[in-house]
Amino acid sequence: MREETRHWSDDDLLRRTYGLAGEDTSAEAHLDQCQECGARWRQLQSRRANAVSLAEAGAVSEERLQRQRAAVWERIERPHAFWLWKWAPAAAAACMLAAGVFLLHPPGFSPQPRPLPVSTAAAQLSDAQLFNDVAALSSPEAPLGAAPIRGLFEERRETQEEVVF
Amino acid sequence: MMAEQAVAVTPAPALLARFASWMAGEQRRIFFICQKMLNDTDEADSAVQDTFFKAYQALERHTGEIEEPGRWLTRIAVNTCLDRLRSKRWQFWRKRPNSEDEETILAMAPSASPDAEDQAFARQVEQRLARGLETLSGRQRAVFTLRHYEDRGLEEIAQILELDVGTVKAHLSRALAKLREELKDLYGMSKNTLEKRRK
Repeated sequence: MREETRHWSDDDLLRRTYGLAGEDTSAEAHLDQCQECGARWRQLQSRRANAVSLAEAGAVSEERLQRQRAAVWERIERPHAFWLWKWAPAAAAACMLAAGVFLLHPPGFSPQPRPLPVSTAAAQLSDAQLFNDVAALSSPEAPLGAAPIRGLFEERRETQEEVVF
Repeated sequence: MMAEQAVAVTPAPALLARFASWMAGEQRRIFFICQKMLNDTDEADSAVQDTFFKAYQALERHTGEIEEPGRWLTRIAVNTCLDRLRSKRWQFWRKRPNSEDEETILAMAPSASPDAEDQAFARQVEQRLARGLETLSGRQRAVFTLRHYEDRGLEEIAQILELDVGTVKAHLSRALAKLREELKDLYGMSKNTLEKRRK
């Protein structure tokens, strides 16, 4: 807590000027009683008012304000043109995309008909047919019933080879 | 306390009907806020145009009443400036204040004063303050601008920015801490003020 007899610091004055010190009735009393702080406070307020009015005075010319008003009215009276300009980049991108598609696939260009995908042919087979085909692939080339006859031919070939040697 | 105060209420259609004169009356103040927040005259130009255009569109849609039209317009302007400050494009293209602009401002400022030297020094400090504002965040800048240049109360600033008063105080406190040296020079508090004035 600040003692009321102590003079206000620069930071105290600044915080009070900008409303950060809070409402304090004793502050008013201090300003009345302390001649030095009262004088500094009044000087600060005067400088502040001067600085702000000086900043405002040189801020803008009437010509600039007129140009601003004209621009605002132009936007108000021609909203469609404004929206058109707003969408112009998107429209330009769409045009470029269309041009790219046109260059890649010109009107006279007719691509070869695509072959029927294998998956389509497989889908036309029934499950039974598919099972038989798979079983045939896994089984030996000759049927099992032909094995004895084949065995006879194998034995005969071996005997012939022995005769030759 | 605020509720007891008379609130200026204007029907939107009535405000729309006299939009031209209302804009002319508020334009200088709005430009000043935008210029202080953006620290760029051209950007402030665009922000002012956006502000009034948005206000016009809102009034066209709104059939009810506008409480405190000046405050409502200030809110639109501050939000427009905050949007611009947030925009990355703006950050990228952002430039330091143009020296030609500064010279123009100096030339336009009234010079026939009893203490021209004091005013010249005040303008120098004002320029430093404007540069100092660039170091603040968007919200801090908005709070400080409304308090310092518009002399608005903290509760009013809170309403404009749609923040609570505690947050406004925190923003303002940080802003004052960052701008301490510039403000002390502006108010003639700094020990070095006289030396700087001589330079």
